[in-house]
Amino acid sequence: MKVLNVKDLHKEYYKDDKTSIKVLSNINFSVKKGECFVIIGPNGSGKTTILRILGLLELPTRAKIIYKGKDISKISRKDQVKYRRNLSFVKQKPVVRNTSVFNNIAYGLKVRGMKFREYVEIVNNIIDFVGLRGMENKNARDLSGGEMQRVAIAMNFVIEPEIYLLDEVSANLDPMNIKLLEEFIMKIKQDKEKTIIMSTHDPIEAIKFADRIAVLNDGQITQIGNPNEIFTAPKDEFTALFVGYENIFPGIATIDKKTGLNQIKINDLIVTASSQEEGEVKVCVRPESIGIVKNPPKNTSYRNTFKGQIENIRDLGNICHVIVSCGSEKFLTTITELSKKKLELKIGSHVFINFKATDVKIL
Amino acid sequence: MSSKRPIKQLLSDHKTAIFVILILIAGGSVGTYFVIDYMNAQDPDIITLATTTSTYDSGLLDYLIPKFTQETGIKIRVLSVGTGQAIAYGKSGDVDVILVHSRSREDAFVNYSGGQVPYGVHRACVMYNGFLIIGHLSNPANLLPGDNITTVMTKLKLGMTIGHNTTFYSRGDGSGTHSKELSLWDQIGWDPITAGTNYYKDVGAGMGDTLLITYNDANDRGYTLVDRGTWLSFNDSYTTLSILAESVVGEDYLLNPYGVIPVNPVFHPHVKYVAVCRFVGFLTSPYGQDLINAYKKYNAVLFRSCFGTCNETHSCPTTDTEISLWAPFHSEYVGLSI
Amino acid sequence: MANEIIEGILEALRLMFTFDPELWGIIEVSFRVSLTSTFLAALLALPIGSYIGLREFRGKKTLTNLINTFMGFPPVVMGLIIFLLLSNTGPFGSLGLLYSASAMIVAQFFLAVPIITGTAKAAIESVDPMLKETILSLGANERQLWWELIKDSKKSIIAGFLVAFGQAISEVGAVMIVGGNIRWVTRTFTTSIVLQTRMGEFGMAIALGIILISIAFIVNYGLTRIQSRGS
Repeated sequence: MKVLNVKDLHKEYYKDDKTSIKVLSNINFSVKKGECFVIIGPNGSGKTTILRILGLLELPTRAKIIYKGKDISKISRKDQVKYRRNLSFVKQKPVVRNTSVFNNIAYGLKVRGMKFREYVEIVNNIIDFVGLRGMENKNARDLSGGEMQRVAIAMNFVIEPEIYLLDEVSANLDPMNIKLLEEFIMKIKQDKEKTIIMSTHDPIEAIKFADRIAVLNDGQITQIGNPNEIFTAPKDEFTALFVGYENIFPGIATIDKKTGLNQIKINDLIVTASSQEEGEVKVCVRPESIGIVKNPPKNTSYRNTFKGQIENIRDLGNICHVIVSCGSEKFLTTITELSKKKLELKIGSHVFINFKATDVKIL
Repeated sequence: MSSKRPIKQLLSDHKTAIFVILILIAGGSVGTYFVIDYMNAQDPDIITLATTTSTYDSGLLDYLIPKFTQETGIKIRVLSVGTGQAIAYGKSGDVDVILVHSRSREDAFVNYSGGQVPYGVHRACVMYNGFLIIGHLSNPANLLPGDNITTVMTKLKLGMTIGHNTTFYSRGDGSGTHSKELSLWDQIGWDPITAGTNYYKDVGAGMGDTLLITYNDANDRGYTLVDRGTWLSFNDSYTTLSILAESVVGEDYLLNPYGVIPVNPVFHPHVKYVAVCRFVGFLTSPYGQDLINAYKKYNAVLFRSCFGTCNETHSCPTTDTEISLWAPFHSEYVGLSI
Repeated sequence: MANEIIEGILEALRLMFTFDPELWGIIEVSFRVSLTSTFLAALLALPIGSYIGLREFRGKKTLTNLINTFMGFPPVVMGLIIFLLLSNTGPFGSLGLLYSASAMIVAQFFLAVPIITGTAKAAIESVDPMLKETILSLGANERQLWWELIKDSKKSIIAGFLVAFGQAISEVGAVMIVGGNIRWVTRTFTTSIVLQTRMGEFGMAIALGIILISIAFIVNYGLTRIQSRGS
């Protein structure tokens, strides 16, 4: 069952000199009840704007947004308030009212008409849950950043709305609070009556929580699908790059009549893929799919083997990013610190890279 | 585990009710004051008097009025404004009675003219005081004691036009003092304004300010016309100025007679005519007149009573009708002495 | 001049410590008129000003312009207008309110309203828009939002009241015209100072000035303390 249906959403900002900036164009999607719908995209793509429009903190330039049979972009102020009471909106940066932590957290319940004796227990429970016991009488504005974020989370989650709108909440959180947030989200996901719509620029986070993902690029949705679809079958270069395909090369594809496999000519390299495309294509391979060996592999399960030279090595703690140039192209691969040591890799080392035909994605 | 103390919680719960109660209390007290002011406006024993600033500043009314209120219970609110303003208030009925010193305008106030109902009725001469010509001790125009008014004004004129050693400061504000000054120039048939001399300064200010400007004359050669009451207030401060001409016996040019005029109740039915008449009766009664003569400021008598005798003191034409008109109102004050 | 100032200080002390009745009359009139007019103005202008600040609507710019213009309305002109309205020849003459404290309150009320409207509006508008959104997203309706924004901009709003009160208590032209500077009844600090100066009683004028400034200072100090405690 659909809880929200967004059709033809457009948002433009008009500047004083009659010019306009188009922030969102032709957005169409729907959110099912009980699902966790994640919108991913780079900064500035319009994720926050979509969420704000869904939360009725902004009105779209043109849209039809159906909730419980009504187009919420066109309802009266009174109905807007009623709608907003069905959701909560957690921002990136926490903003609190100039009063005690307790009163901040209780506010959502208070405006819905709950009396003090009705909400005191619920609020105290959530204060314990987020670990702010002892600080409930402190002025919320006197708290540290991390504590304030916990207040923000608490005050939005205590109202237990139908729809949770989370706008890049993990972006500013410290690890402890991220864990807390995860606990909350997981708890909510268990309840099939509650829907989550969140935005993030971290693809890994999206995979963790999402039932479905929408990719937003420059104000337009380029793909909607479950995490697996997005990450294994990105529809365009942008999505591929975004979800972590670093190695993208243009080439001409032909089908080898003998093997039935794709041969894609990329300048002076020929890549074998298990797809069936022809003509101009884009090839992409995940860094994790590429292996590095010192000597040419005897194993033929890797149909793609290229000789190359290490151009750059970047240490990132447990893993290393290694850039190998093979002929005219550069490949990014990731290997563990241990492997790097074992193989004694240095800049300038001559190595072989290999990857399977099935790990090659065609765009 | 409440976050507020019980009292605060109680207050917060009944926020709206408390707010409404406070508003009612505040509104009630404000409203009461408005009502009181309205009632006062209707009270027949509270009257409003408009007089000139120099009259008020002499302190005479603050001396007389409490005695009047003590006798009659009638309260008087005094507005101290310019002569023109006082007369305007009388015309519009914003006051019940006026006390001014500008005979020509007073006459216009009470006269019928071309079907116009008079603004005021039954004017009474009450008292007079004197004007003085004040100047710097250097006295470049060489005014001498005993000079009559013609001599004085001519000397000033010559000092301005020929000698170029005299500056005259005029109030220039349409006040009673200003009209008096203009009438003095009239006596010698000379109009300093049309004559266009640089030595005649039209200040456009009140008496105190004009005096200050005269005192600050750049070459210590300023002269001006001042009423005695104001002069006595300032003469300690202005040590370089002194009286160079005052009213000479037999001459009333520098005399300044005062008239009190009730506003016409036919024209303005709401004026408290009865109470006003009792006030005029007070001023013109032997008791009131004695009080006027007894009033001193800085140990000097400022005003002289003249009700019924103004034809002797300063050639005032209206005497007999006034006496017979106001005599009945004196009975209230018989037997009172200072 | 120094003579007069010393005389003024001594006179001020004498008036205060002998509880001079005329001084108390002046204090009563000054404060009653200024406090009442500011209070009534706040009652009307705070809701209106804050509500305008809350919403966006067509013509808001023009309205803002209007409010700002009236904030600087010359008090003496207001005095003249009220005088003409309350004068016997004017539309409200029959109320007989001219030359009463009520007339002064009316004049100062109309001067205070634009000031409080403008400052309340600016105060609400200067609240962090993120706070406004947070409150809305928590489900507040307009009235609840309005109340929260007022609480958040309390300091600026109170500052607006102080500005209006300060202007009222130091105003001289309007209260002179509509009040008439009548002894005991409509004489305030400012009109008394004018009178005493005119009469040449500089010492007394300075005394009144000193007392007025002192009282204003104390009031302001008290309010500043309350403000800083509140946050």
